[in-house]
Amino acid sequence: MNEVVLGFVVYLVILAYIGYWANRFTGTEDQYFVGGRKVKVLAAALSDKASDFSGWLMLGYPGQAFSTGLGAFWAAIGCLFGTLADYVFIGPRLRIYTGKFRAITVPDYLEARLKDDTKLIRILGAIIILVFMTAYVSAQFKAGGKALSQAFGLDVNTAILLTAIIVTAYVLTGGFFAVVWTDVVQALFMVTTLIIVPIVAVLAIGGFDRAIEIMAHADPKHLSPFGGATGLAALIFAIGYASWIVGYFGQPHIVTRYMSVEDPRKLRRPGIFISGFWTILVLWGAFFAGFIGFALAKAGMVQVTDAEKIIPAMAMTLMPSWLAGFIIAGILAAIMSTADSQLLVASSAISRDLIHKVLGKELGKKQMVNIGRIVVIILSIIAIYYAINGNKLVYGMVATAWGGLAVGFGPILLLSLWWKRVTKEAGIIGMTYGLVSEVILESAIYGWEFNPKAPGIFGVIGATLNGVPVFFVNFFVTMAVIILVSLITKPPEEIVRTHETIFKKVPIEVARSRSQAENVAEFAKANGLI
Amino acid sequence: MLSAEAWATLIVPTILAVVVMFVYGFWDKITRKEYLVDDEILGYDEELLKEERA
Repeated sequence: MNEVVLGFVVYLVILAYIGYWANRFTGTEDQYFVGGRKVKVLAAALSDKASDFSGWLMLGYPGQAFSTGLGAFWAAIGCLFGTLADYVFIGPRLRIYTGKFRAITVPDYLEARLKDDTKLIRILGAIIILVFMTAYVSAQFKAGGKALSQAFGLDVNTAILLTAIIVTAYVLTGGFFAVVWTDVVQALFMVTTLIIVPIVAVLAIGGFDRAIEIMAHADPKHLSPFGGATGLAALIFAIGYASWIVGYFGQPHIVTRYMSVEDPRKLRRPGIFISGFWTILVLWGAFFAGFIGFALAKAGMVQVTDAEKIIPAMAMTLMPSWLAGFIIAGILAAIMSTADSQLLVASSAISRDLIHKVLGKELGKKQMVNIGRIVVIILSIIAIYYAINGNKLVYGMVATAWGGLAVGFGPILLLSLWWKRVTKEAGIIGMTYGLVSEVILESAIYGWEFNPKAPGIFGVIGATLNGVPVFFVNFFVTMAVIILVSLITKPPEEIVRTHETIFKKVPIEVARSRSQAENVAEFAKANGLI
Repeated sequence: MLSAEAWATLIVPTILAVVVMFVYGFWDKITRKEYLVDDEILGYDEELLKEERA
């Protein structure tokens, strides 16, 4: 146990040092919230994925693979293609627009892009962020509580408090640079953890074929790609899990990483390769950890009362204590790297979007940064409350928050980057619909997924779409609302012209400045040296 | 043994994702065109640039 604690403390000291080092780069709002738009692509891409994959990856998703089996792999497919879709459809264009507008938050960008002088889009954006991001952070605190309680034998509520104190402390120290660079360390921790755990699990059980044999004996449905469903039910099963894909378009804590990168063209190459391959590794690792974990539990080699605790349980049971400490640190890395980014985005919604831009308080840049820090503390306290009193499952908590952000921001972000005709009226109505409908559908009617238990007509719809997340359907409804309102209103000429010219493409020789090596090669060629 | 259908569920989407990465990653080379990005679009924080120069 002492070695587990020691490994964990060493890991925290490393993070604290990075936060201290990065503190010198946080003098201005630009630097605090988007790293001065000058973050190296390797750091931005790894930070993007570390912020994306949270306690969901280390606890929620393995828990689903444990409970459902092979069918849960559809969630990995959705997340993988969601990651790629972000790079193809959102990243470079958002970086180009936000660089031109000097936007440092998503509401900043939307207000400038749609030329909204009513401030409604900014206010709506801030509310969506505050409501769903706080819920998302509380899911991370809950995940931390589960991991630490399993590892150290703590009471879950004490472990939630401990997680919250650690995460909040280091967001306060350094802002965006600290978050990005600690994310890089955490991304490496996460991928290493998720390579080690399934390998140890397979070796412990006596080989992959032995694990499959145990699962086939215990529950044959575990080995079915559709959880034993056929026909339309199989399709709905796969959509239900893969639906995470649409959520990628609307996550402020993820897309802010694209806004911070030093050059939008680098998101194409090497950005998509760094994120893509990292994502494949961690999703395969997390899936197989839960999948093989089920066989270990059935063979009586691991005792687990909550499926979502399968990775910490395997670490404590099957590994030497120093390695278990490393694995627990890896789990905390996933939780902290997401919660810190979310707290930063939520604090920007209040300090930048509401106080600075809506209320017009002209405070000094240092004061703005300090207000952001106070907001982080307040939001953390609210998130602790919901972590202690909310949903028992991390998977469900994350799906609820993910869905709210997906519907609130996804359709308007996607359309504003690709369609010149989108208008501010459409943005206001679409975002209002997204916010209100998600809150009502998720809190009062269905929960995070459709089910037949809902009252009246909602029960009939719930029976047809049973198991499909509410946000997946609502995303397309919101998109239709925005398109419809845009078609019956008219955007100002100026923003249509900007949209037509800003994404102009030029021959590659002009677009990419030549490297020093290319200059030397040309010089050598011109002088007959080669 | 895991069935062929199960292996296909695991491997086919992963290969497809790698193909997407390469096509998009080299789309500028394929089409010979890329976004025009100037200093206005890069929009670096001026104080950060000053610190770097110092």
